[in-house]
Amino acid sequence: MIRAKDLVKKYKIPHERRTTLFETCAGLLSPLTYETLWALDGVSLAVGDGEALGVIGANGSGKSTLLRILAGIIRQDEGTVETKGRLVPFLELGLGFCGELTAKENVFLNGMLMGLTRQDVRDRFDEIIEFAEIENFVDTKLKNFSSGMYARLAFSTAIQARGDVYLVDEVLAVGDIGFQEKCYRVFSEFKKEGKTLVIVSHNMSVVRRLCDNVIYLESGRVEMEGSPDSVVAAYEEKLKGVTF
Amino acid sequence: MALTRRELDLIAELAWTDFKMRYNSSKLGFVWSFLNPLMMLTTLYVVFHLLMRSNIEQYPLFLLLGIILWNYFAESTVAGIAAVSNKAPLINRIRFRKDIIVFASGLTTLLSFTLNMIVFAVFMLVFGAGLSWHVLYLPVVVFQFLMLTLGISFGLGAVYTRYHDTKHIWEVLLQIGFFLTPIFYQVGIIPPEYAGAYMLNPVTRIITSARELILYHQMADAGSQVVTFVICASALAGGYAYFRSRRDYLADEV
Repeated sequence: MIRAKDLVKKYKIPHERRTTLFETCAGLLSPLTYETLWALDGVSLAVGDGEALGVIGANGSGKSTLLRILAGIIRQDEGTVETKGRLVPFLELGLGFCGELTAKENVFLNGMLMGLTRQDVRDRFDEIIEFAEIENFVDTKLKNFSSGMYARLAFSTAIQARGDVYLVDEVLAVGDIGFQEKCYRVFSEFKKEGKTLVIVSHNMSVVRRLCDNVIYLESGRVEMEGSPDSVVAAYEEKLKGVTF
Repeated sequence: MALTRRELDLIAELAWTDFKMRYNSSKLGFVWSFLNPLMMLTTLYVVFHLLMRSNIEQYPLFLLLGIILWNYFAESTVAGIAAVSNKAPLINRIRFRKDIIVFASGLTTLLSFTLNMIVFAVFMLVFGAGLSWHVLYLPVVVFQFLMLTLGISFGLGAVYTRYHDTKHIWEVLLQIGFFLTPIFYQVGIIPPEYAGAYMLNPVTRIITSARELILYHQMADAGSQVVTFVICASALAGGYAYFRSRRDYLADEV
């Protein structure tokens, strides 16, 4: 279960950026002027056990900021987040992956970054390799992997991190169709086990298939909320109206 | 500051990966890393021993130990200060304790330092220098050094995410520090009226005690050791406290 109430996140974007002590001292006499960007402006959501919430919206509408706040990576300016159970953020696959290391070494590093202990990774290692379909390349350096193999390995390692609330940012679109089907099955299984999913995606068929509810964000506000079919339809209708 | 099993595993894995990457990139990786101290040793030896005829007992070992300890200080602080910023992709994508990254960076340089000390032991054999039981106290000195370098890494690392010239300023300070620390000379050459202030430098205290333990088979008195300990522990406590007060903003800043 995850619940958020009235989340607000503001970014003050200075017209000139001062990133050195020197500039800060030199600029003491001329105060900075800011543009305030409301990345999130009063977003609330609630997702129960065994449910999946889809978050859709254009680039810059606040989807990733929302996920990062729910994950506890950045802190909101206002509002509250309440979670029950262990949280697993999938904000990027293959975190810490390094081309100079072998697949095996990368699985260990990445697995531990995802919150497993060394023993956990050891216990699940064969399963990870089998799911990723790279049995013959365990000791190959990652730089020699194709992008598909890379993505499959990253996904297989990530899903080993066991928790109760999964925050997923656009990571379902990896591998070929066969592999994508496997990924769907994993997430459907999670739902059956009573896990909570929050899925950010630009892929509307993913949203339609997996989510029970969808919120549509625009400029940091919830523009629409409801069943996948109705919200996705409204979003697509809106996109059609945009002239380029 | 207590760490769970999972976090300790992660620190070890991050440190070990960085360590491997450092020496993996070239076949002679470790040899290269030792080339710098050796070149410094040769230069300083020629200038101060052969040309200026300073008379320090066991000068080559004295010098080499000073250089290894100073390099450890310089490398671990420079790497530690930049550690959080360099791992920005991790900090932005997963939720974990940010201090883990600084601990891991400290551990990586500690591993390189250990390798360098093994090479130093070989040099001691070559020069026929003996050891005494005093060397058993060395881990305590290394621990003090670790506290000091971690304290600086935490404190300045949290400043570095906001002000990117922190690292340049620190590098300049290190250059000055090289001459203010007894690396190629003895503490004895400092005029007595400045000695009090001079000995406040914790790196000076650490290098001096390490030399006494390893090369001269003696030990600083308890009072002096307590002072060193207090300086290093306060550096860690202060640096860590500041880092903690900033930790919620780090992901937004890097």
